[in-house]
Amino acid sequence: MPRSRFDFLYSACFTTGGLCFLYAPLIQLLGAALWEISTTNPARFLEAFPIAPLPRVLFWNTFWLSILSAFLALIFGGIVASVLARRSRFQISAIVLCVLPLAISPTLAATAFLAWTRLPPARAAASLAATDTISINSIFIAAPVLALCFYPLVAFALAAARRAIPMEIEDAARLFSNPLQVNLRVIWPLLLPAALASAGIVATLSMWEMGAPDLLDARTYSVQIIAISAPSKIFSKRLWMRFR
Amino acid sequence: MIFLGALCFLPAWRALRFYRVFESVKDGHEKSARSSSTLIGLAMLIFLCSPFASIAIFVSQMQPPQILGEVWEVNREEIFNTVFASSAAALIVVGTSFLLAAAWREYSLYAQRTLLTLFILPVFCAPIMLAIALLNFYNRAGFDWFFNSDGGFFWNDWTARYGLLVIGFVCRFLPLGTVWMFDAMRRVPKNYEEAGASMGAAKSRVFVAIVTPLLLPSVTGLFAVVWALCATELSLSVLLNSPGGQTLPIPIFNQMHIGATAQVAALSLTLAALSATVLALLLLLFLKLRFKLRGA
Repeated sequence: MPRSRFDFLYSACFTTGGLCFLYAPLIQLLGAALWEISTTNPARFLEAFPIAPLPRVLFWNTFWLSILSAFLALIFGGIVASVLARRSRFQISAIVLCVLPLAISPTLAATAFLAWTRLPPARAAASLAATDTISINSIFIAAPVLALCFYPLVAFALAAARRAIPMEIEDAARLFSNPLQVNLRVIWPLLLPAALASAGIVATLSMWEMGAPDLLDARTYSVQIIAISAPSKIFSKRLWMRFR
Repeated sequence: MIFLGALCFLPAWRALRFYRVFESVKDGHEKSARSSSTLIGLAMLIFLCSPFASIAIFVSQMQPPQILGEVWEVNREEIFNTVFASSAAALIVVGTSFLLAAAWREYSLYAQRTLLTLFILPVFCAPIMLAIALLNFYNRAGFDWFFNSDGGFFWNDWTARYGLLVIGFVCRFLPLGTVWMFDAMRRVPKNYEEAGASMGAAKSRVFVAIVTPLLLPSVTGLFAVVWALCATELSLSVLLNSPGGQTLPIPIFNQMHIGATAQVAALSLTLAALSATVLALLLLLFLKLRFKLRGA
């Protein structure tokens, strides 16, 4: 614990302030929503479960989009990580090239894809009508786009994990088997936690992403929330009118 | 286009040349070199798909090329807003996470882990939900002194435009910053500080003179990443922007829906260039600081 009373007070106040800043809006939103639903119409809790047609479609779209994006990001990131982990003359170039995709957000990547294929954006095709069900093709389009934006996360994590494995383990295994077997039976199990963690992060980011799935007609929870809450920027306008 | 082509092609060509050197050799050692060059080639293919393909598409879509100048002229305010809001948010995130990590240094391991977990948990709230939560929370009379442009303070013009957006960015990326800085601070060896303290230096002096310079590469890296993430963040910006405070992703998103392809390409290229410039500059600074520290 901090040695002086001032240190303790400073750290306690600062930490509490940070926690309040992060948690207060979320607790207020969730608390108010739960209170309102439980006091007015408890049956609406069922809408949160994927039982009715629309929540079911949203659930499976979100699920498959995140799983497919994570899987593809794992493949792309794994290949790039094998280059990043080697101490070769390509290492610095690979780091720079791997950082650059962070400058292209998924929305920009989806925009580029639509411009390249000359497809209309989803909302122009009036595909946000509540009764529409989505074709699986849009998930197959959105997932590679998201994976190509998020693979650096997997690549950096896997490269760091690969460098952390002692060379002696690999050398010892190579005495008894070929490189493929060594990679499959020794290296890959050691890399599995890093791979799963980074794939999980990519799956989560894909799940939350709104711009790219909206443009590419992959209707997920985020897209549905924005379709309900912000078609006319009702929140911003209301907020601005009040503050002005 | 030639420059972009060269930028993509040269590393791939070098990788192929590397492959050719070892192709004729048969024993096991060179076999691994061959497979490594195959991997380098595949990695270059992935780099070619992202981000160079997107940039090349945007460049090819800008017809006529002078549209870039027109778009800059029309969206000058959005470009400024993007730079200002992202810089402000990145500075706040870096500063706050630095102070938090410093405050937790002398806590027990259990307390550190508990606090870190508490700070990471809000990450699992989707940005759209966070934006709605922030609007509900700050949309009340108690915050008029901060958000109202007639609040009576000199900062009100700025906070009315950017306040909620910057708060949103900070809320979104503070957990990332905290984890990043905490990890960096944990790697600073304790015996450096003990050496400074044994020479009679005060604790604050030791922190400023020894710990802070060692953390500069991490601070630079965190600033660059948070800046790029804030500049390209759409989900929060769509809901939290105020009139006069729109960032670049919003006109891109809106114009894409009405099919203004050339303008969208010019704006996207501008946004990608802004983020890439900041990332590249700070990455160079990061590498320079790291080599300097290693050299020392």
